[in-house]
Amino acid sequence: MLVFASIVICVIPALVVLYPLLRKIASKSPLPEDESSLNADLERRWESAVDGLQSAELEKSLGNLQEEDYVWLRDIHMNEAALVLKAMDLSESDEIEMMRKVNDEIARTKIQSGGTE
Amino acid sequence: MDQENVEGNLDSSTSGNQGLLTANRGKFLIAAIVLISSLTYFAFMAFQSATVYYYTVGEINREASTQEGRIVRVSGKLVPDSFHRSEGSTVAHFSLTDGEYVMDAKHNGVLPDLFFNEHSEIILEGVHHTEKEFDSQNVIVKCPSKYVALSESE
Amino acid sequence: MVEIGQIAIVAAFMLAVYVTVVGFAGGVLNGRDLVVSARWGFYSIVPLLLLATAGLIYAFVNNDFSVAYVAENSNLAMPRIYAWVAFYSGNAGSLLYIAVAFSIMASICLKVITKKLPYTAPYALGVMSMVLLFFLAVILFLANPLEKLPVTPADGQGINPLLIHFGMFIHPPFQMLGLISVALPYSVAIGALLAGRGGRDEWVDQGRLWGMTSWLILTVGLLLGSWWAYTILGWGGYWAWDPVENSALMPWLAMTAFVHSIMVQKRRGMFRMWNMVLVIISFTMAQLGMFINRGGPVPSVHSFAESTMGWIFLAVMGLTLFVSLVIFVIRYDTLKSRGRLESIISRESAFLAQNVLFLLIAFVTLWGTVFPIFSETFDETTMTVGQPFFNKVNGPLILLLILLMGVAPLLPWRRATGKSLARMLRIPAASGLSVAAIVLILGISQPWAVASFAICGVAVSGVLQEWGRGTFSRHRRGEWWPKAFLNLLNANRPRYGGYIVHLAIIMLGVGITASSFYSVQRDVVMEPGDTETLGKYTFKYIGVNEESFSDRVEETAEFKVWSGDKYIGYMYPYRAFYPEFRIAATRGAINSSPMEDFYLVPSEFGDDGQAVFRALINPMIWWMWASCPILVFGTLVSLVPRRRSKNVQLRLTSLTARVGDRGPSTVLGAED
Repeated sequence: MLVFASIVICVIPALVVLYPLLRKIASKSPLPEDESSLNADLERRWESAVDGLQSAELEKSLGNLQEEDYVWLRDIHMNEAALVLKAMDLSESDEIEMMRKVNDEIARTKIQSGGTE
Repeated sequence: MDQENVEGNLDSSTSGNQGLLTANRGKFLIAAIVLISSLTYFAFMAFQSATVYYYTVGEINREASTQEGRIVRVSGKLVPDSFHRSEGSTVAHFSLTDGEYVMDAKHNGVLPDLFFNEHSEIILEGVHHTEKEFDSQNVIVKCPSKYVALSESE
Repeated sequence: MVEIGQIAIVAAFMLAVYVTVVGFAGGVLNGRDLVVSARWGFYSIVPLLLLATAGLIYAFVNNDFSVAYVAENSNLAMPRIYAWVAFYSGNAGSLLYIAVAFSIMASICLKVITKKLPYTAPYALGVMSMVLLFFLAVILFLANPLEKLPVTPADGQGINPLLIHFGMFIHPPFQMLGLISVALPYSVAIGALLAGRGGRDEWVDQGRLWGMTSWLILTVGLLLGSWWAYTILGWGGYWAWDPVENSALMPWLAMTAFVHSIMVQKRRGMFRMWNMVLVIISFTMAQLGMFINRGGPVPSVHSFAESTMGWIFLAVMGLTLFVSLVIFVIRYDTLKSRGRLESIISRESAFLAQNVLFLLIAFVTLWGTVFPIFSETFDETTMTVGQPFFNKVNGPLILLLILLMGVAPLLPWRRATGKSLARMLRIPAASGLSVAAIVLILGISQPWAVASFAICGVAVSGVLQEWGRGTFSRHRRGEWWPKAFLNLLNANRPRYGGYIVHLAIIMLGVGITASSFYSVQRDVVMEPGDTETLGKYTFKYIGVNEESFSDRVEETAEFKVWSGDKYIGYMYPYRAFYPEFRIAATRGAINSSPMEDFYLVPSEFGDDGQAVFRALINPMIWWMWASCPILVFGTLVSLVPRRRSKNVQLRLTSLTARVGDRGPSTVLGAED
């Protein structure tokens, strides 16, 4: 009984470990997207720019930001968002479309957070 | 477009005015230096006043004269059956030993849970007197074995 | 069952060796099949270790005293339910507990990061597997809990009576799990460095997720520990700056700094090196904690006293620190910041100041903890550092932190003008001043206590101001008040969850302040029939009731207690004496209310029932324990990922798919 149990304990993990090597299951599946690719990086920066815009909007509606600070922040984030789009080599229409969506999103944040126009 | 270029572009666009930056760095530095040095000084002063000598019963016996009347910590084990309380008093009297020397001590109040085990290492913090009993103000008991948290009483 | 467990440990050890080698090899060679094999190998360690654990618990439940560890930590009289406590109450068993708990957590972590960080995961897997390998090696070669005795004793030595308590079911497991869980963010961060991928903030989301998980476990462990000490140990306190308490506090401090500063990296691409350093410090401090716990040289009231194993832990800690720093230096140039600090008045610099404060507290604590070792090395006599040192130095630093906690969340990212700042701070400053005035009127005159309450007032009103304004503006758009509030919290969970945690921390701060400055105590000798008073409380000693059990004698005192003229009820402090262990277990009786606790604890009883009793009034301790569930809730709120559904249109991926190969780079950085 004990011998049987120990064989089971040793053989099952060995099989589990060998299976992927023998069947080459990973090699058959497509390559996952690289988290360090320039695309992924630009995406993170895009998101942080959009986050920045949203939070500037939120802070302003909460009264934490003076008008001049708000304008400054907004310009900077907009600028960065535009640069990311440039770096993506998008077509002009795509860029315009994306910036329009950003503006819509900000407007939505403004309404949601109840800020005055 | 290569990746260095993109980094460069984004950087210069976001970092703002170079002059402002240097001025800020100076201010940061000064603020940090002032803060840290004052804290270090403060910590040092507090540290000096809070260090306490730590002896075994034998060591305090040898250094008795130099430590007269000072606050020290002394560690030892309880001498079996040496513990008693004066009738109607909160003061407990007992003796500690390191196997060779014995020290008499008193403590006012309730003692920690593991105090009565003769294997427990007892650490007393209090005033040492050559002629009188050790006047314990604080009792810490270290556990004889196993993973346990023990108590402390003041 | 025990033999099967032993085989399982051996198998787990061999698997861990395999996983470490193959995991790293898979990462370096970019061998995807190797990585999958290593990963599955790591997952299979979990059932093996569970099997070993089951073997040990089975031995406990069935009183199998042929197992040395069972004989040392259990006996026939032990209630069976305490098999779980006995499992980790000794050195060897606690190592097995750490190994099994870590393997489970690390497997979950591995599953997640494999999906999110496919190219970092193999290295992180290698690091996690090395951590596990260390524990398994120690278990196998130095402290095997399943080792058999040559002769089976008739009965075991029994579990330490102080462990027979409800708190023991949760506090030690949490504490040990908390310390080891610091290895998760460490693995993710070092894995990213090893993979050469630290420089683009890839690991930030995962680092934050696992950092906060670890932080949460550490926090709950610390609070449970204090609660246990307070209710059970019968000295009326909850924290004594004991080395082991400190060693649990230090990694917590470093992790707290980390989970905050990682936000700066996420937002601004800054502090990339700093965050790496913080993770390395956290893990080193966690290892230091385990070292002190396992027979370290520091005179402590908790420890596995006989174990010399501590030195191995210390050596491994030194090695880990050294290797981490080497990796850090080699990858140094990948960690340049993207953004820069633009203004002193900004969220970023507030985070930086917060980090510095937390690390200062950690290093002050470290210094006080290890100082006895140094003094012994350089001088014949040992010097120890008393509680006043910690209180005097850390107290003001903590107050500064709480102040920062009130102000910092109001600051915007990047910069604010002085005018904005002044406007934001009007209400918090006014509330701070009014709190100070109120407590002064109430008769609180200790300068530090007044400062502390005032600062807590600033911090609370900072948070409430944010909530109030946000809710109010939503309400103006026609949302019903409670709905407006919930929507506000929901709109930015990391932020508002953080505020909830801050409120809980303020509750904790208020409790600590009140109880450390305004606790009163009195030791009195009483005979049955005597009546004494402390503050507004009057307590009458009715008598003592003695009851004998197979392993202990319990003496329970009966008290009638009045607060002013109001009758509160009976209180039953008791003291159990275990002759076999010569250990007393005292349980104070506590009458707890949000305003104050009335606490009674007995000393040894004389023949006629005469005894020394210590009565304590501890103000506002209730708030400390009440903060725990709030804190957990807040952390969970901020951990729940934000729903991206509404933003899906805003994601660049919607475009990159269209862009396809025309984009700058699907391959850059894919292979190193």
